[in-house]
Amino acid sequence: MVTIATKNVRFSYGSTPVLEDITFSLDTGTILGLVGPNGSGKTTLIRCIDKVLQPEGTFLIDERDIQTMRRVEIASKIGYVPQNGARIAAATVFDVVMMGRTPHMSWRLGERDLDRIEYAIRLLGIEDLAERDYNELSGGQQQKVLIARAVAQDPNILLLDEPTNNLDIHHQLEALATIFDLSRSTGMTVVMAVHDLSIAARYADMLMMLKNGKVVAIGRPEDLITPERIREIYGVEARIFQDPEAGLIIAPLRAVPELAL
Amino acid sequence: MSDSSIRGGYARRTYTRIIIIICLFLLLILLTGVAATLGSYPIGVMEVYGTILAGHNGGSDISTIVWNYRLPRILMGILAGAALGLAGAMMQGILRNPLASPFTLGIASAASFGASLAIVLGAGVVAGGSLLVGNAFLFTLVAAAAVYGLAQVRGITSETMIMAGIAIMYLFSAMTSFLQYIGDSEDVHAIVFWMFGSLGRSTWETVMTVAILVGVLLPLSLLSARSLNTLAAGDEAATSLGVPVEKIRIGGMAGASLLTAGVICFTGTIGFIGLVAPHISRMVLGGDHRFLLPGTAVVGALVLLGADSIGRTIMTPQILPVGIMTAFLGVPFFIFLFLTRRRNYW
Repeated sequence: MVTIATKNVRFSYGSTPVLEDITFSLDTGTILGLVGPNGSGKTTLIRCIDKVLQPEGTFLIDERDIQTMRRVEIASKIGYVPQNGARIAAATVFDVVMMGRTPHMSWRLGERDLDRIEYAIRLLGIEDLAERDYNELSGGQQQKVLIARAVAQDPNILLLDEPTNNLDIHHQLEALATIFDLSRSTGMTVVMAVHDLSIAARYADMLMMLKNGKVVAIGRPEDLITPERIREIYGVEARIFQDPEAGLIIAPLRAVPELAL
Repeated sequence: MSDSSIRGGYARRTYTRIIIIICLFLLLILLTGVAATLGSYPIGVMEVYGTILAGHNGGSDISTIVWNYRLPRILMGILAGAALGLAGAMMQGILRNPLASPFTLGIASAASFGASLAIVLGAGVVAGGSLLVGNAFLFTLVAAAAVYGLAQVRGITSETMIMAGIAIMYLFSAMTSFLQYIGDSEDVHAIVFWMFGSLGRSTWETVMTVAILVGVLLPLSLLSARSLNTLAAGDEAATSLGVPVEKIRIGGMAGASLLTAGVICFTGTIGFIGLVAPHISRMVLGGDHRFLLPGTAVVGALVLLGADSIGRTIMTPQILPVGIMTAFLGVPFFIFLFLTRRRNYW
């Protein structure tokens, strides 16, 4: 089944086009990694999928046009983990995770809401933090809380904008393994913008390479990641290794001067 | 950790917060009784409760004093404090700014201008003050509409609203100064006196008007409590979670403006409560607006009634305007909480 399908999606901030002619479709349960240099449109694409921004073109979620869907309906289908950094005033970790129930809960917190909040907190392993103030946590802990909030939302589609930002390598692997397992066990479709190509290649089923708001290539990581493409997209000479456990390892060698591209 | 600890923690905190709100409310009832004993005619606390419970029969001196003179003032103090506190909590929530208060959007300076205009035009306090009350109310709504109109051009975010509010505030302040400059000294005195804020003009009619306002807007604000909670995560995250951000912001602004206008058109400007009552209750109850909003209403009522009671007695027979007393009473308490609570609550 196709969960996300787009055709000729375009978006611009004022007169500056940020996304042009984005066409792709994504099967249910797939993990899609968005890669590309800064300013290539990864975050904008994620925000368009969540309808926080209003793109032109066709955008189908579960075969329904996103334009016809109500905000609460979208909120109950799509969870969005923004890049962290925003302070959240006077909220405990529990309070923040509880926000994920906004599209579902009535005024009072029901049993189902509590079940889901508890599940999300345990899944991310942040039980010990539940009553701490969100603003007191480290960047990595905050990132986990934001992911837990999206899990509590119980969405079919999970959007993550640089989920490994601010995380050390231990927590990067932990967070992505959690997302990977969640997708595999519940059939959740995941779209995540990731900077680290090796990490993206390891956890994503599909990669979409973006540059200047256009799709350069989309496909399985092992087909997509070649020294030529990395040079084309990032302007970087790189060597690629295959490790039996870690998968593809991309070792950047040197930046190619802009003029030589 | 045991299996139910997350749930248990939430249940425990909910329970604690409800107990705290009930205790605050009991404290308010106690303070009401004490406040009604204050004055030149000596009445005991138990006599006061007896008189209140007996209803307004008008038989005895005590009944007349309590029902006709002391209760309107006390109830106005409670309702005004609740309304201003609630308005402040809503403003801080929708603007996501700890410095926001009902006066952030220029509401107080607009009310002052409306009142000043009425005083200078001659209707003044003497003529029953209905023009003054009407004018003050009208201009607060003008200010709120102007802020909405200005902010709306660039999108209703907390930044655009605060910018527009500050502009409107300075505009009305300048116009009030202008009126004071051209007015005669009697007018200026009346304007300055109005701006101190006082519960002395309370009657049963004004009490009922504010009671209706609070009675309607408190439940309405509680309905938006969950949205206000989620709004704390930022406009984009809240939108993504299904909160109609602009609607909540406009509705919250309208509600806070009505509450503030409805109070200060009768009392004059009473600052500080709207800024500090939400902080005091946030430090005690946490940031969940389902508890914070009713808690702030009770805390606002406590602070305002306490301030007025002290203002009435501290320099007898002189009565200090409550607008001056709120800061004298509230600031030390606020600083005490601020210094002793470790939690990084904002």
